Amino acid sequence: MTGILADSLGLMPPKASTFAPAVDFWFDFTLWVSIFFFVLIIGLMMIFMVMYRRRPGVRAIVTPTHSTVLELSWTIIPTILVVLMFWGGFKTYMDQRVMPSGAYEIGVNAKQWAWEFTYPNGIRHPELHVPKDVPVVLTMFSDDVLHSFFIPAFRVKMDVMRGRYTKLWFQATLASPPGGYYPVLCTEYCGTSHSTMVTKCVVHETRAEFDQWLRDADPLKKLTPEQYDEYVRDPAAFIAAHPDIQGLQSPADMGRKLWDTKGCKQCHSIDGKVGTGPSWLGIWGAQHEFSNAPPAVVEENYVRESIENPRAKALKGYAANAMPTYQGRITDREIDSIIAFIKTLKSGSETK
Amino acid sequence: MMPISLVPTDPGGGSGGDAEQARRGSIGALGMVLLLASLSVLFASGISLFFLVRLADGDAWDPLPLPPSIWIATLLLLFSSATGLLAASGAKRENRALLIVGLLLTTILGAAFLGIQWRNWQELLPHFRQAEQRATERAAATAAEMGVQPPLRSIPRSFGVFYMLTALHAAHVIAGVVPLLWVTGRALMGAYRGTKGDGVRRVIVYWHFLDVMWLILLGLLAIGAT
Amino acid sequence: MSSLNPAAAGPLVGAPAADNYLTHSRGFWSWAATLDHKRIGVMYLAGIFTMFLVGGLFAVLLRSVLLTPDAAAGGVKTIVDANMYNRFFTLHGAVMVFIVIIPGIPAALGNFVLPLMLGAKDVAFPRLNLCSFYLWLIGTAMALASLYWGGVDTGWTFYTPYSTKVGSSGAFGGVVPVVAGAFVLGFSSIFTGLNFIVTIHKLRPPGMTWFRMPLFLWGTYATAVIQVLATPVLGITLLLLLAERLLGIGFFDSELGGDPVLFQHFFWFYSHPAVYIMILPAMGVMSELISVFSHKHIFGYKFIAFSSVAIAILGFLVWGHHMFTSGQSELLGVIFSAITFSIAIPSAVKMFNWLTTLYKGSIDFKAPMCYALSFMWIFGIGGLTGLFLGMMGLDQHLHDTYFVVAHFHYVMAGTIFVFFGAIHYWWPKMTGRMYDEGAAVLASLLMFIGFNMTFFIQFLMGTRGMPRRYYAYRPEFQFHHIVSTMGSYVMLAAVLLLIYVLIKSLRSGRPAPANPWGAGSMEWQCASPPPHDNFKTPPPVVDAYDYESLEWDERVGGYVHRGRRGGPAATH
Repeated sequence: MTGILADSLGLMPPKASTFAPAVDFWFDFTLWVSIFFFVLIIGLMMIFMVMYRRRPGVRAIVTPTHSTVLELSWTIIPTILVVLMFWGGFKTYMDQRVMPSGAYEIGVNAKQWAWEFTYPNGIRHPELHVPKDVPVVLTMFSDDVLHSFFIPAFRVKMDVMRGRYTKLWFQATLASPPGGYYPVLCTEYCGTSHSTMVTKCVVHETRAEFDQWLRDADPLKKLTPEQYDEYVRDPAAFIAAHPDIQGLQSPADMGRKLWDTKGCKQCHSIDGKVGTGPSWLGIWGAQHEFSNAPPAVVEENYVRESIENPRAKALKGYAANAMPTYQGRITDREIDSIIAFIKTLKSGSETK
Repeated sequence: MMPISLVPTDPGGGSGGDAEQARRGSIGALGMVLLLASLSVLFASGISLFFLVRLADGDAWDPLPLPPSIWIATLLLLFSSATGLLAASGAKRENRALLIVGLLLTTILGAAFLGIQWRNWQELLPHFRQAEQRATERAAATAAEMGVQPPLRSIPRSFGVFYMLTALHAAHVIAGVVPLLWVTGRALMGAYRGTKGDGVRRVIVYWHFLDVMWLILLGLLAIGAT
Repeated sequence: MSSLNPAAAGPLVGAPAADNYLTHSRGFWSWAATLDHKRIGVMYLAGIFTMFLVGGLFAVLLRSVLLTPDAAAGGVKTIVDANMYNRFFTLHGAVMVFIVIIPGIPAALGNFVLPLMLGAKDVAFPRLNLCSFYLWLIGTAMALASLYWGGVDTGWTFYTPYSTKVGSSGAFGGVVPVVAGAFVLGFSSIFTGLNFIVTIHKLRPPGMTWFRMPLFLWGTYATAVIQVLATPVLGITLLLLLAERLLGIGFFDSELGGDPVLFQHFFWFYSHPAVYIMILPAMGVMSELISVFSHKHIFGYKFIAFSSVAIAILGFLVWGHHMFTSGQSELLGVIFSAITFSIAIPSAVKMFNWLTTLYKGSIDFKAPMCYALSFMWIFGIGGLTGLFLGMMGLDQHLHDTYFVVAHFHYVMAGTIFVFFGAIHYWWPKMTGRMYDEGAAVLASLLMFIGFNMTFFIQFLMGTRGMPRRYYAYRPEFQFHHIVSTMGSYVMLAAVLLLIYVLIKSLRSGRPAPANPWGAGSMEWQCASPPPHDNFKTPPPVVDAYDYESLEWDERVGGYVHRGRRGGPAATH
């Protein structure tokens, strides 16, 4: 099953899941039917427009004002065709909606405006990675408003909502090219940065490659407490001494990555531009005033509290409940990295 | 306001006569049927919401104590429907005394119904506050379980449904009292003399409709109290 | 029937009659407090056209924003930020749907034409009619007032929990006035529908049987039934939304055990039938235009009439096809999909009937006909692409992408083509003046080209996975977006030309004859513009689609009946 028109005209994204051929086939089927009827109707209309255009002295010819045979035939033929289409849509839909058993399960959390994927080993990561040829079930929920999970290349979509789990499954059939990815999009309007609530889906060629990625996904998590202390004391030396730990960078760089991927950047700029939340540029050590608490200086504990319990102190001039809590969604080590990153954002530098 | 507009202004050019009268009557009557059909859909969607919420809430449903005076309100409304019948038959038989007394009683009873409903709402307020407290705590617990921010406040949905449905009904009662006052005033000033009083009868039909709706709502509220 | 001689009577002679509905009385109050359906229709038309320009302005603004992709991808968004863009598309949608298209044909043109077409002196409840107009005005004012509170950014669908929790600024925000405005507009719509049903049932003159009614009246009747029976659900949905936002009741809030999908069910229970509120009157106008300008009897009258009713009934049962990816139960989805396909049939039937009407006709490419033929093309595409979306498996891919945006513009904005066609068609009747045919046809061609440029390419974006309501997008779609935006500019030019044509006609248009197009329905049997009370006596009822007795008369510059005096067989 495939779609001839859809393929040759490049109407569809790459076919990267088991659903794609069936969806494209029925798309093609409907497209052929549509083209046939469109050409029939509009073609005849245009012929009539030319043949029967008004000419002086020529009157319209009286033809029968109804014909039961004709009218029944153009009621019944389309009916048969739409019954076929319904059946096609129904069959593909049931394949999409019936979850396979024994699939690889990944949790999906949506919030304004970031995706986060929880893998069976507890790793939380902003990108979706899956092995090829393995059925994957996503169990999804949202922290706030409605979102919708969409991977065009897989032809799958499902709304994600607060207070109810929704599920979606697929089986990837085409590994993403090295360094490449399939876009994961939010398709249910969810506010200011709806259009940047986008992430990557990487399909690994083999299960082993996927497992390797999963092990390396969170370098911080791999460190023992002793190693972690050592790393914090002198990151450069520690990284140099442990080339086997992939992806490990200095705390500030790790923090920058988190800012980029955990949804921080949607509201907090690092160049002084005021967004939904205060910019992080030059924020370290500044005095903050609150509508519900005495003033405080921006230091470690304040940053930690703002991440875990953002409503405790409502910064003046900003919406009090704009930020979701990250409690349970971020590790202590990650908060340390973010603090390290904020410390580097001094105002007065050339970025201002 | 709606029923007033439904007294058709003569579109036909103003010839009097019985046939014309009957024609105008049937125009108004169809208008009233459509209005009631539309309102029935409105109440039906309110009622289906009640059931959806009741089913969804299950054990978390906060039973709603029915204030005792709700029964008095019901009686008043039933009586007002009866006096409405009097007024309608007064209009039909061209008995002005019956018409005016019927209309006055219906209007007064309708206003009294609204007054008692107002008291009922106030009486429920303390219960509502307590239930709101409980609902907020419940919401906070759910939120904590799901690891998200709790809502700022939340209202127990049984009370939400109660206030919504009764307010919806009361709004339509008000929309019935106003035209009642109007036709009463006109009757006092001597209108409807020598007519079958179609306008009056339509207002009364609307009033019966409110009565029936109220009985249905009352049944729902009784279910909601358990 | 005494005065069976319209051909010899005053109305058919060139200049407008001295006493018509426009000149009948003067002064502000003679309009503001008028009970004349024609004046109310004209006021509606002025208001709705103005709001169409407002909604169109938002559309051009948002299309302009989409000229460049994304800051991260190297492009720069220079015009406005994401928040402003979100407000643009929300107001564009809300204004066009609730304020322009839903009342467009029924309230503006229906009000003017319906009693005339029926041979009645007015609608059944003139005061209620005026009341609907003022409700429309108030609702519109409330919706626009939201701009004062910072606008709305929820999308016209007001999906919870976004609309109850976040959306705009503060608890009040712009959401409350817009939603309250839509609520008031709902009343306006119900009253109009109620009025039309009663008028059609009760005010048909003797001889005007159901199956003698012009098809526009069937379309309006089917529409009115939906207006009366579906709009209350919108009312209660919006009230609940307000209660939830202002009081936190929690019907739709999952934290309190509520169900966000419930809102969608309630919302679409109205808003899908609302699509048919938009399209059915347009289809009614189509039947008139196609027949009149081919000078040929409409083909399959009863099939068209019944298909309107079938669409109205089935239209109530398909709302769930907006929710194939919302997490509603699979069984529900299957049922909705099946009924959705069944609704494709009556729409197809209408297309074939119009086509057959053209066959062997004498097709006159006047501006209204150009709009009508454009609609065949546009609705053809709009209807057929609906099949893709009705297939559940395909909808998983296409839902909430530009494919959907393109599809519903081909359907709903397609009705705007009919709206414009209808304005041109009845313009001589309304104003007593002809318009510049050449410029009007040019405007319709520009509109057609601009429309297809704007929206056809959006299908291609949609199938490739471009989601709707995106402020920033991947650079691979920039070409598509540029074409689309250019198309919107062409449409802007077309609308400006159209306005010029209409204004010029008002200022210096040639006086219109009673029947400039050679139409057979009743409204063309009174003068242009019609006298205050339409018909002194109900005119004879003839087959509205019988053009045999109509002939062009050079002296009046319009069509006149030959042989009417002899009494055609259809006359009672």
